[in-house]
Amino acid sequence: MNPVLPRFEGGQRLVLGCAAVGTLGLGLTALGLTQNTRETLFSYHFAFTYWMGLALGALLLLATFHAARARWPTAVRRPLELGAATLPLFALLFVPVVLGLSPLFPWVHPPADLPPHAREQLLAKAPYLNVPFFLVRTVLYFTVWSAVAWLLLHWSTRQDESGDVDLTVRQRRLSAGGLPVLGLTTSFAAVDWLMSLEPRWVSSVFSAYFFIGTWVGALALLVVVAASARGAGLFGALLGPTHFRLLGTLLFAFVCLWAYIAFCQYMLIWVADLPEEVPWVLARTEHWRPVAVVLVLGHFALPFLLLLQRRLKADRRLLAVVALWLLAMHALDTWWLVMPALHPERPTLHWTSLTAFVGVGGIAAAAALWLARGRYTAPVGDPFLLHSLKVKVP
Amino acid sequence: MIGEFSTPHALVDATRTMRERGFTHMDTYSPYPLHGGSEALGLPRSKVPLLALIGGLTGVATAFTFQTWMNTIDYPLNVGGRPTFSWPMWVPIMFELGVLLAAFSIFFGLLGLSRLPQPYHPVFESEAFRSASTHGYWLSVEAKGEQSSERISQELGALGATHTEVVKGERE
Amino acid sequence: MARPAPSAPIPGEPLVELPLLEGRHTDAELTHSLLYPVDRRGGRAFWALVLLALAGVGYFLVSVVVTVLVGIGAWGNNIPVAWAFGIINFVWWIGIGHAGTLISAILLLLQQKWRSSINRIAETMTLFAVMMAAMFPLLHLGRPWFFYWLAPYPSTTRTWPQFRSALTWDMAAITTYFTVSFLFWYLGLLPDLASARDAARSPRKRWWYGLACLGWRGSARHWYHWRVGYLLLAGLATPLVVSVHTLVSFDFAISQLPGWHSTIFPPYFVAGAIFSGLAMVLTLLLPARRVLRLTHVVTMAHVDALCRLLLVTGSIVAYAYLHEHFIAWYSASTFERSIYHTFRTGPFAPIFWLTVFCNVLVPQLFWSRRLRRNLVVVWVAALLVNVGMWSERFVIIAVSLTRTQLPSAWAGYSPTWVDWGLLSGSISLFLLLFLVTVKVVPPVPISETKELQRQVDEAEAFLREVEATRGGGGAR
Repeated sequence: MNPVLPRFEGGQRLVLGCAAVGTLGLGLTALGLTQNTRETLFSYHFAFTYWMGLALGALLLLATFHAARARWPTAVRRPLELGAATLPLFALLFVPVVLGLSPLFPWVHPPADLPPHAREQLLAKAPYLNVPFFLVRTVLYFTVWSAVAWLLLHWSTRQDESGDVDLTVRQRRLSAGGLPVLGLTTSFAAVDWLMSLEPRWVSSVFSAYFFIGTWVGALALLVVVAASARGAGLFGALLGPTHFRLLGTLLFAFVCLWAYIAFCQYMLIWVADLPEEVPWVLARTEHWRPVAVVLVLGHFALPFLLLLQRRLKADRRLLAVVALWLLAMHALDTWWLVMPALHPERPTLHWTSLTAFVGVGGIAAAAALWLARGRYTAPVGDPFLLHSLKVKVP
Repeated sequence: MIGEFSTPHALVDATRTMRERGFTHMDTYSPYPLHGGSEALGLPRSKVPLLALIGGLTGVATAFTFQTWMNTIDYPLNVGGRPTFSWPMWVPIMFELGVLLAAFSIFFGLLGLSRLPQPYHPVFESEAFRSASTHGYWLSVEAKGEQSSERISQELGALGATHTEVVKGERE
Repeated sequence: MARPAPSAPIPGEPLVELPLLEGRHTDAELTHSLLYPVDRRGGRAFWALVLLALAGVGYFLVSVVVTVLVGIGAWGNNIPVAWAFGIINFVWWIGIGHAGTLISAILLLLQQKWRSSINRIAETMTLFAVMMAAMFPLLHLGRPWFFYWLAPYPSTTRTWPQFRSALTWDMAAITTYFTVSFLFWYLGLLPDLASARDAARSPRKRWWYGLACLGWRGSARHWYHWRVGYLLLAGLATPLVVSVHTLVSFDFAISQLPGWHSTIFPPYFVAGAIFSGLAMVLTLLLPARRVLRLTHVVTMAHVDALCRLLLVTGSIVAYAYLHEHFIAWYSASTFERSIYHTFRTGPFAPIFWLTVFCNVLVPQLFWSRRLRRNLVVVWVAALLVNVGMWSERFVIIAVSLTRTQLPSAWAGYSPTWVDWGLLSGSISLFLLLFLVTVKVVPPVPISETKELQRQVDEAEAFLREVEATRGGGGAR
């Protein structure tokens, strides 16, 4: 047994509960498929994007921490590793999207009523936007992500037993070398899975908007997990106020970054008013205005003001509340990115959005918890764990 | 009354002890911020963040108001068919002015709270005190009423001061 | 007399980190060695450089006078290439300034200890770079003496500036940026000016430094407010530096011109700005640390960290290039596809490929630890990045303008001797200001270095403690 922390052996009920809820949610969603196929597919695509985004965000954060040689996050690193390791599961969960490619992505079978100019444009994009190439790319993305995530988890858990310093070096090397590849695949995945829902629309910063959103989500999830992980074999008790303050500061930075990118994208499209670009923004900020306003206030203004408070950041309960709120806002943001492609005129909520959300989330959570069982919930063999536990900010 | 200490730890410890013994009107001098120095003196929370917030909000509000008044109300001009109330285009200057006024508030607020510029201070009378900005750690205690300079000198010596000196002059 | 450094125990060979300070120094020694550049008279090389810079400044003055007397017609600008060297130089210089703010403010917030020894040099560079930058839009006005028309003042014509124009934004951004950078620099300098006052030998020097440090006593109250204020200013400077280059990018991105209108411009410009600034920091720092005898406080750890940052920002820039070219193709817009095709194959294609070489390929050298520690390689690479970032702006600004949507309006572009005079002259003036300042102001923050020495000591004590606890666990 390790002197810092015993292995995590509990959580059996939680795994089963999550799996049950997930199965139920997915079952109901399948029911919706028979009722309204297109609507349900979009709902599922939204749910998939959200939860896959959290896992991908976790991987990007983890790789960034390693590449930056950061020491303080060592104590909270394991949840990121476990979250990222669920990415292969999402390859499986992508199957319904593949089966529903045609209803989801108008470029698969361009609608007959398309004006000739638009049809020409779609044709000009065909070398990139075609089903075989799309599938090849998807396979590539999941292969790269899964490989990096699994290697990082594997090396890190091997270090739990051996304490081999060499494994730290390997994790750092893989992360630093892998980040450019991860960045590129994420960026193209955002183009493929989200931007091409409206295939005439382009925005070169959209990929950055997507992956900064996933950072906010993944970090918020990490805060919630760190704040609530109390009990036998759980790492939460190792953490002090400083860890939460640092996490809170990082969350603050990401919220600001998200707002910055969102504003730049909105303003530049609004001001140039070009026919290819502006319909996307019009649908989301004029026709879906209430949602956009809630996002500005809830995804930026409120957390910005709250996270400015030093005392709030050091309090794990308060910070967890803010993080939960941000997770909800990130879901709203994802929904607001996906759904107006189907309903550009007005905000429309279909019940399958909720069941798919719970369904995918339940399955993913069950998988992450199942991976955690029988392991240490902190990298106990890491040479910098003690640095991380002792971290103090003046 | 000023006394020099050889290490920062000795100075912080001495300050804390002196305060516990009831001495007031104390100040420490060091070439870099002391760890725990302000706590040892029992200083209240700094007001600088509050000033910064007020300055920043003033800047944002001012910039919004004058841009709206100048470009929407007083001198509306059609620029490429954009609305005269183009609020997204006000944001850059709102942000810049907010930052500018916040920075001014911080800088001048900080100087004001520290009572600077203050070219003369009694401690400058001491030639040895010149080390305070390079390698010395000093504690000053005002001699007043019961706190006679002899008593302070004794206490400081007992706490490990390597050098004590009396400086006279008007306070602030 | 520096005591030998205690052999710092480290958790394993591959994780050795380079020391931030070489050797162990007492406070008095640090004061002495860090004031050395200010105390000593300049050598022959110093004056030779000053003379060289003065010659450049002469050329610069001639170019400025010609510009003001003749007007913008003395430049190579034409219609449609209405923006060329003037704006390129502006963007280039202001971008260089950004690394100074990154090092002094962002790294302070991130609690990166390695910033302490180099932030003064970086901040000084920022101030002068912003000054150089600000001159170009002023000259570009054609009638610089009317610059105040940009400010909202109640004029007799009863008109107001147009806030939907990026020109007014730039004015707000540059003045704010310069002011805040100056306040930040001066605030950080106050304690050091006090040190200089107290270490000064002649009464006159003492009097001047005493005046400049505003009577700083290093009192606990001073430090207390200073610390809070300094951190807050850093917190403000961070979004500010992002906003400044964002607004610079808006100059282009809010238009509808292919090659200019792209939503990725704001973050891409910010990354590029910091990239170029880091290169300039390295360009100046490597000779300065040798000549000013600062190798004990500006160590290989700093060079290594700067190179890694150069690699990171360079990779972001590379990503932006790739993504932009992809999105231009993906947009399937004739104009977008054609302008990016022109970049790659048009008359200015060599400049584009030079940009790619300098900004994308050269930084990749720094994946290698050995090359990051080879000072000659680092210095040459930094110079190349400076060149690359200038030519990147040339491609974006001038080449885009040669090919507007209307083919009948297409034109070429070639700069005149005045253009070259302004570019090379501004570099000379920058160098001159930098050389003079290094002689007057302590180039390394003295108080922060002393604090750093304490922190390094504490960290070493902690490492020994860690080693002691791990000792029983069978760790290597």
